[in-house]
Amino acid sequence: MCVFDVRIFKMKSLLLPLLVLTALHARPLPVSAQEKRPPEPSANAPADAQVQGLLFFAANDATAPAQEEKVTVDAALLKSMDGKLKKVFPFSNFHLIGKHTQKVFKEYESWVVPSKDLCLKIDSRGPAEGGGVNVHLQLWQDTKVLVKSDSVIRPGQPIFLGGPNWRGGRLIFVVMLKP
Amino acid sequence: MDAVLTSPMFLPAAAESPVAAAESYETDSTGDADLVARCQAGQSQAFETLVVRYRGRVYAMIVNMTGNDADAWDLSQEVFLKAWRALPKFEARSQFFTWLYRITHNVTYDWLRKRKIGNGMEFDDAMGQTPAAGAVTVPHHEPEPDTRLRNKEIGGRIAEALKELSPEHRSVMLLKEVEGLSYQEIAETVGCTLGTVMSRLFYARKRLQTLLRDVYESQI
Amino acid sequence: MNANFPHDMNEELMTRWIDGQLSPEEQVSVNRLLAGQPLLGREKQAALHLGGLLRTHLPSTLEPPSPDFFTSRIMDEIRASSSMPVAKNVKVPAGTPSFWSWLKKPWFAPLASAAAVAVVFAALNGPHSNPSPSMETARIYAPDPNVVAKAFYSDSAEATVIDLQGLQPVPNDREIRAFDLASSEPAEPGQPQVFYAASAPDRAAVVLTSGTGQAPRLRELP
Repeated sequence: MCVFDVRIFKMKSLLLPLLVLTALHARPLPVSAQEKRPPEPSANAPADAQVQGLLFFAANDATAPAQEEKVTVDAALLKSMDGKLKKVFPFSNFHLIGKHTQKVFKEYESWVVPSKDLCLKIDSRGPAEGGGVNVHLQLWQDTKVLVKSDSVIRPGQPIFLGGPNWRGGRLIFVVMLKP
Repeated sequence: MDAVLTSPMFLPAAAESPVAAAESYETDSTGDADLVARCQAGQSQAFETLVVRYRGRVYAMIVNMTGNDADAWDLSQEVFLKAWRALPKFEARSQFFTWLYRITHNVTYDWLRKRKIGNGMEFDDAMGQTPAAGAVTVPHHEPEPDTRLRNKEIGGRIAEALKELSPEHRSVMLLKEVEGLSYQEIAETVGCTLGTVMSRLFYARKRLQTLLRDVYESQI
Repeated sequence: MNANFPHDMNEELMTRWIDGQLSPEEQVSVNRLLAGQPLLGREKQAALHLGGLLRTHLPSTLEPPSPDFFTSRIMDEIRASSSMPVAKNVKVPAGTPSFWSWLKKPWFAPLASAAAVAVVFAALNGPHSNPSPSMETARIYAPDPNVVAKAFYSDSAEATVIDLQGLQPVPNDREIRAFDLASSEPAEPGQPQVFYAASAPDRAAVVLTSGTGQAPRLRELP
């Protein structure tokens, strides 16, 4: 899949700040070193929004699939999302199995990765009129892009992406602005 | 009430609009040269008109060259973005569409080279598939079911035969026979001499005649 | 049916003969060379028939799927880059198009279609409805022709829904590996991006690498 990207041109305008940052933070660290480094305490790049990507397994079976990692999320949010999902998808149970909270940065590709199997690429197109952020989304499953979309993520209005079926249920990717 | 939009033709009213729109473009009085001049003055709206006017030809050329609908969409996007960036250097010595075809050829050729698709090389399974759902051929017509099946079979055979050609031979053949370009326009598009164009056409035809002999002999 | 061509005729000459591009003088000399070789006449007919076959079965124009989305994506990219280097000494054609000339504009038909859809939405939703801005802006494209994607705005759920039908199901024996990750800083293009665990912000959990337009590669860290 070949997708064009003009971001490299936009990056020119960021070259000077990046050079300054590079000087401040010394040379870029190799991956092994980066892996040991904690995340930066504050956003060095301008963020357009903070989004939350949630991966649900929708099924009529009340038993949640076994997961290596327990996902924690605000109970009120989970309840609200459960209610919304039930209005759209014909399943009685929505098991949250993955979560990733991520700032969406201008000029950068942002990835929301609540799962190794389904992840979302987000390109910010800047603030939307009336609130929210204009985005270009690409939902990936392994090496395949399932759908591309130009959308607006607005406060309190998530985007549901109904993905592939699995074990008699369905995987549903939810992306929303973090309250 | 929930409003439903469907992809690929996600606007319900758009199901018929591409054909109608494509026809209306031909009556558009604004010439390419005027639109190019407006683009060069920074008026991106003029470029939108050019995109709408030529997206079908660019997309078709790439589908025919690659046989890969999904990548053809992205490659076509790349063609227009490259064209926009290169427009300041366009000096109108050639026609806009010839120049655009040249970019199309280069983008497609690079893609094929990277994918190592070509004569005697590994081949993508997607080659020879029917056009993507939602893709509308122009002119649009609805043949009888048995004719459609036969056409689909022949289309598949042609796509299979084309992939046996090298990208160089394939592009010259398509530009001549499908796009109807002159030798000179083909030479400008692919960046070679007139002699090379004719030579490639000669060998491409011979190869295709061999590969498709049973198809066209049954029709003669 | 491939015939052997006379040695005096090279590929260029043969090609121009097939395409009817010979000069009158060349035509005379080629006719002389080909005299008494009916097989070559059939060869020319076969080549012409081949051209017809290609024109019949290969489209010279094929609208890309989601044509409006196709165009708007390009224009969005152009406007986002917003740095068109303007050519020097360009004379821009003057004049404001008249109303009637607008009707002929290529964008008029899709715009009119979109407007018609908006009117239908308004009619269906009734005078008291409050159409969501999301509804107007979710534009989608599924590259796999076997996948049917629908986008709609659900008033009751207050959510934009992108529903993908026709996807290959995930095999039942496959485990879905899911994470709970915290936000990370962006990586420079081409550089791997490291994500940290939400529960332990100093623990690198996943590394993602992706080139432009390439599939992401995810590596889970121990």
